[in-house]
Amino acid sequence: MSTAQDIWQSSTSSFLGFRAVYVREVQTYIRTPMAYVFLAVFLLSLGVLTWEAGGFFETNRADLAPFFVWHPWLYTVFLPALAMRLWADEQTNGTDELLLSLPVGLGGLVLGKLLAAWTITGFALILTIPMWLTVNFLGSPAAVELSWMNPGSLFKWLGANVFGGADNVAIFVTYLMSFLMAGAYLSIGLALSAIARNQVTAFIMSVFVAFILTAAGWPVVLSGVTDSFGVDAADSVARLSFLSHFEAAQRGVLEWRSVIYFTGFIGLSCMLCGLWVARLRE
Amino acid sequence: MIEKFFTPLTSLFLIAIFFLFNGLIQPRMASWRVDFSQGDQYTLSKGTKQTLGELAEPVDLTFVYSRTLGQDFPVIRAYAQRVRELLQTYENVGGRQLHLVEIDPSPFSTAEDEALAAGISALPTGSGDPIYFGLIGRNAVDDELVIPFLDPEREATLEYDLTRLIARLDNPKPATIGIITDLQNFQGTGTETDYFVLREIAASYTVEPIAPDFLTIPDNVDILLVAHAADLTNRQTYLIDQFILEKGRALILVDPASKAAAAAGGVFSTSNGLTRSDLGALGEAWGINLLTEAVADATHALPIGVEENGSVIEMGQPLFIGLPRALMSSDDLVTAPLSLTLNLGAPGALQAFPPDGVTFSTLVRTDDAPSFIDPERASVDMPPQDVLRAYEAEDGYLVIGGRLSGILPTAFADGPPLADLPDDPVEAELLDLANAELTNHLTQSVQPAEIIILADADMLDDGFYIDPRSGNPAGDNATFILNALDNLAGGDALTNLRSRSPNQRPMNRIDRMRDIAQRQFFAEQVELEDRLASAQARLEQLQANGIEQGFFSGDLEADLSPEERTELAALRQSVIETRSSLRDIERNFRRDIDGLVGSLRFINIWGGPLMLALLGFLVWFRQKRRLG
Repeated sequence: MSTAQDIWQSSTSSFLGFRAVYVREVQTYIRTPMAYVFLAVFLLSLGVLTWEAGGFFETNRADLAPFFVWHPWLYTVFLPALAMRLWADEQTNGTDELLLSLPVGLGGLVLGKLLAAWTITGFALILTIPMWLTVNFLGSPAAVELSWMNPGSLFKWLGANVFGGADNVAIFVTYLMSFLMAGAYLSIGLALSAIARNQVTAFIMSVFVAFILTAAGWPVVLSGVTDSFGVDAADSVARLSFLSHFEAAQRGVLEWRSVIYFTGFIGLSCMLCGLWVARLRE
Repeated sequence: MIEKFFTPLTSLFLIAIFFLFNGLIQPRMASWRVDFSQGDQYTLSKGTKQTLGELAEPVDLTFVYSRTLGQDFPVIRAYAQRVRELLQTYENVGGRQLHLVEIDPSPFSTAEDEALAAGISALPTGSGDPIYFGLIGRNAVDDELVIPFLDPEREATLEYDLTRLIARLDNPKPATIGIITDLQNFQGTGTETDYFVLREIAASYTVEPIAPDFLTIPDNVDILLVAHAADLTNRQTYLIDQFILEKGRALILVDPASKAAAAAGGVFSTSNGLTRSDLGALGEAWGINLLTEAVADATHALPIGVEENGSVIEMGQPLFIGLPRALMSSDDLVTAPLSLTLNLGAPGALQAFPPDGVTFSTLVRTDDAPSFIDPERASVDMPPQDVLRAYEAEDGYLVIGGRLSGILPTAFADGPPLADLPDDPVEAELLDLANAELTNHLTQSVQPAEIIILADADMLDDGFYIDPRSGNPAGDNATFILNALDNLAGGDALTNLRSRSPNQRPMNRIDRMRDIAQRQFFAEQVELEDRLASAQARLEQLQANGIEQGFFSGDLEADLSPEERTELAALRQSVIETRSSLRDIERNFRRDIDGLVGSLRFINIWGGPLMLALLGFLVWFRQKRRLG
């Protein structure tokens, strides 16, 4: 019987079978109704929060601030739900041993699973594109008459109504960062589902960790930390929070430290996940 | 043994490495950022960075914002977010010298007491609890400067306002303004009888009046304010020239037709009564020329009372110009924050051909069809009718004010002018003493000069912009002067800041729809309102008749003729109908917008879930078919 140490050492470098794992996991998401339900509720909540709680229309500003501000909070709840089955499912079904006995590297397994869930999240983000079109439409700088006689007017119309009304480069950057951040949230779920006995435990643990990492950047929490432990402590806490790292990105400012933080976090979670999965094989 | 602890130990090790690495690397990477927002909204200007980089003592900023209450006011909330983000950027750049805290003054909290004590405005809301939205700045020696209300309307100048506040906290000593003028109400130190604007200047700065017959400019003067100095000697011009080359900060008001000087120039007056002041030799050196003629602008004539056929009627006086915001620079921080008109009295026009290395940017201009008017006539009481008769519209606008920046040459290339020795021995002695100080002749600017020039001095007069009833400014004349001094006093860092276009992109489409609806229904609405008013008036009349005549019989309509009764019934019916049509209009007015917002809301909230449901159904159907 091989030890955890052996599996860890032999498998981390191996990304064999990554493709197969990825395709299998994506198919599982597509074929199970759960993913649809989670994503539908996620999109519905995002829409309601943006338009009702965020008062998107009442701000009279053609920007997506009232939309992006909810992303970390919704990810806290919905992405653990998406990721909880990744390993816990295998354990419940008893397929984990089978999986690890296949000629598939541990790295390929972990990354394949993460990327599958990430792809599904990216798909959900793509489904929010109407919101992006909406700000461009509402902010369109000039009224352009669309005439079928004049094909050139179509380009003008598109320019004014589809591309012209918002700060689209900034919005694109925010979308990218939101996607990267989603990967970090998913990686929490992925890693914790490897040590949880079932999906529910995996979900609860993931939401708990995700919430702590999100709320650490909440101004309410930070001002509390400042009052009790001083500014430096608050700064340190803020540096660990997903919320703080998404802050600048929300305005279209790309901070390299946030990119490093999120990718580093994903890397850490994947390594922990590999480590914890390997332990199961002892 | 080692194997047993391998997993937990490695896990802890990895987590520790990650957090250690982040803790080390993150503070060093604060400035590694790329601003993808249009117009680099979140990148501070060079001037701000310079100010923050040169902070000698720590500055504490307290951002006061009623976060919970503010949630109900989307405009305030969105702007508060913008302010918070900008302040955070300041904090990133300012490092340890700039400390930012945010307080939420909920009702009856100590934070509320702090906000009120500092002078933050309490904005009343419908709920009864006020909203606080301002900024308190403090420096190491407990000087306090406050922005009582962060007005969303001032977004364009937000960075300037913040940087200026920080710069003032860093260097709290107010600048000294030396004033050279012929205008009697502008010669004091800001007492009761002085112009309002001088009192305002004295409130923020040290005012150093310089007598019209001055022989030297005091050393402590930081900024020179020359307002209609019509009778400068060669030597005095030289002193001004040298001051500007050395310190580089001046606000100069010239006037081709000073009404104040014309009014003061009586036989018993101490005023010299000269109605024209210009830049003289300085203008020649700088390439700025004040045209001889006065300027009138019929498009923005201010209304004055004119006697016609024995009665006083209100009429536009084209010589008194109320320049709107649109005719002032929106980039320059002197004019960008203005919201009211700049009221001028028979101004002049400037022509600029600045030498190399000097730029002239227009701050204030007329509309497109101004006219030149004879300054002799313009400076005295010229009735609007006469002005209109003499009015010959020019093609294009005329420049009234601008900013001159750069390295200026001296107007006295040949060295100090020789002064005529006065006959009086005491004066001759004084002049000798003063001459002794003129040892260091400068041929060009020591540092880049910033000079703001306006071709009107009458605008200082209270009569042009202070509402006589309330005593409040009805024009932005004083604000213009104060902004100009503020800007000049700020040092290089501040004078180089420009206002930036606000990043808030309004929902233009909604605004357009609102405009169209307004235009479409306006005429109809006015007509209906008129009809309603006249019907109601007639109704009241008929009812009054009825009450008068039928009061005792108990029937209010008893004494109305049958025709009148029919009319009364018809009128009542008409009032009801008109009211209902008016309501329809109000509804129509919002109908298109509400409809659009409704569909957008539906698409955005339900569109995603519905598409997913459809997709899920397709997948399910395919699977079923394949299995079946």
